[in-house]
Amino acid sequence: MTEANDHPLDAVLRNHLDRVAGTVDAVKMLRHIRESEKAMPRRNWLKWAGVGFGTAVAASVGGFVFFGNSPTPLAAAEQIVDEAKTAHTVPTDRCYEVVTEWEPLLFRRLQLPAISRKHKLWTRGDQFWIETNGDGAKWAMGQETSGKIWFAISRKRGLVYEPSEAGEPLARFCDLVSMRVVSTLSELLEQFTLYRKDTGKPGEAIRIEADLRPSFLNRNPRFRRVKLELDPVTKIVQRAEFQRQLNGEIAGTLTFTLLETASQPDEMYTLIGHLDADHELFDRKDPARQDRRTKFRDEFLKRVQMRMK
Amino acid sequence: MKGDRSHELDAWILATAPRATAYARSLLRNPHEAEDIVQDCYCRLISKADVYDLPHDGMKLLLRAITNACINLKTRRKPFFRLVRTDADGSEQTDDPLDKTALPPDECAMFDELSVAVESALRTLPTQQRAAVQLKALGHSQQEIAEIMGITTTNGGVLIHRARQSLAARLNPYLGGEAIR
Repeated sequence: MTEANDHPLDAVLRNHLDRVAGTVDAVKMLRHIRESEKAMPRRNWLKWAGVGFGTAVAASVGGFVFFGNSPTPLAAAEQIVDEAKTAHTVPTDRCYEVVTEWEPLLFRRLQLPAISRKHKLWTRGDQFWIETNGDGAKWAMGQETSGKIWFAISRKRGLVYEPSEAGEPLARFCDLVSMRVVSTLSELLEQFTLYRKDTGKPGEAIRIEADLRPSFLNRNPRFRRVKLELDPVTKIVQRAEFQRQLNGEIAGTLTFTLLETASQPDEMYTLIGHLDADHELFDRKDPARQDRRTKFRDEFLKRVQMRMK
Repeated sequence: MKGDRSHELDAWILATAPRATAYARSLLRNPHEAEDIVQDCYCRLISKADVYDLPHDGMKLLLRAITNACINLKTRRKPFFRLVRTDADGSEQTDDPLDKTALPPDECAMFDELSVAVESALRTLPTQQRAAVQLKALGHSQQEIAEIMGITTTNGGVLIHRARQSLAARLNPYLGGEAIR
């Protein structure tokens, strides 16, 4: 292949790029770059200043304690979330009501109408299952601790997706409307700046807000903003509000409110618990049934979309 | 001396940022993400300013970093919903509902008719073809394009050739057949 230096399209493309380049505010970008550069040493400075300040505070608090006056300092938001993560690791069944408010603009682009839906989510550690019987159709979905996602699209038919099939539409749908408590709390600790919003008065719920820390390594975060309400004693999540993102755009807000803590049979966290004895199962293991799995998935999605209208 | 160096880097950023951002925007189609990526790439390069002579050799390094970051980001994404449609012959097809060639109204208003057509045509190209043909338009040789994109020279040539063919098919009505070569 020979190299053509003066192809007529080159000039057209160059002109187009120049026109786009003309809309870029280079001065603003330079300012942002210089600010980002300063942020790093400043963070180091803040860290050491924080250590010094912390030591001073600890000493003064120690002094108060020693001399009989003991104001209780508020625990840091990070410490509280870490404790909440530990509390939710204990295998207890909790039921949350989930209210979803989707962003109408995004769903119009996805050719789905704006929807507001309620469903219930049962969670135990990092596994969950959701049952919905709104819109006249009953179906369930869930995720096991291994990350495997399942859909009981009826009592007779189940679809299973391995963690490696996370790009599948149903797997993404499941991720969008659900909550894995332990993983989510870990995500908050790693990727978000956490703030305590309560006063720390006895009996008052602990309120924590989380803002996404912009990072080059975290290009496609699932949440932009999170608000948590935790029990002050047990640190169990009582209410959680997630502003969900999809490909960098806000997709909607999901609110999880704790309804009850009760015992659920183990099989409810698996697909089998939601199917009749004469069920059919479609997973990746049987290549001969791949087409049927895709067909049933598409039929199911179409059915859900029709009901949303 | 340090101040001179800093001024030299500032001048380099001011001179290169518009084209680098335009290039990233065309790869990503999301101006905000494109600007974030360009900014991050500048920061990473500036942190190694003592190793590289950025005002002289920086553009190629910058384009390489932007290309890698944009392609990484694009390949990590998959369409969320694929809707089902029935063809005239009754067979079912699944589609990504987002029309990749459609420009948002604010971007349409920004460009004239030819520019809108170019932007729409570019959007139909795979990311690697789009990167290659635009780097060529910016005056880079096939050897340089291969280095920037981390591919072989031959592969670079193939990408440019295919991109030009696709673009020519779409833009000929606007260029009076001049694009076909």
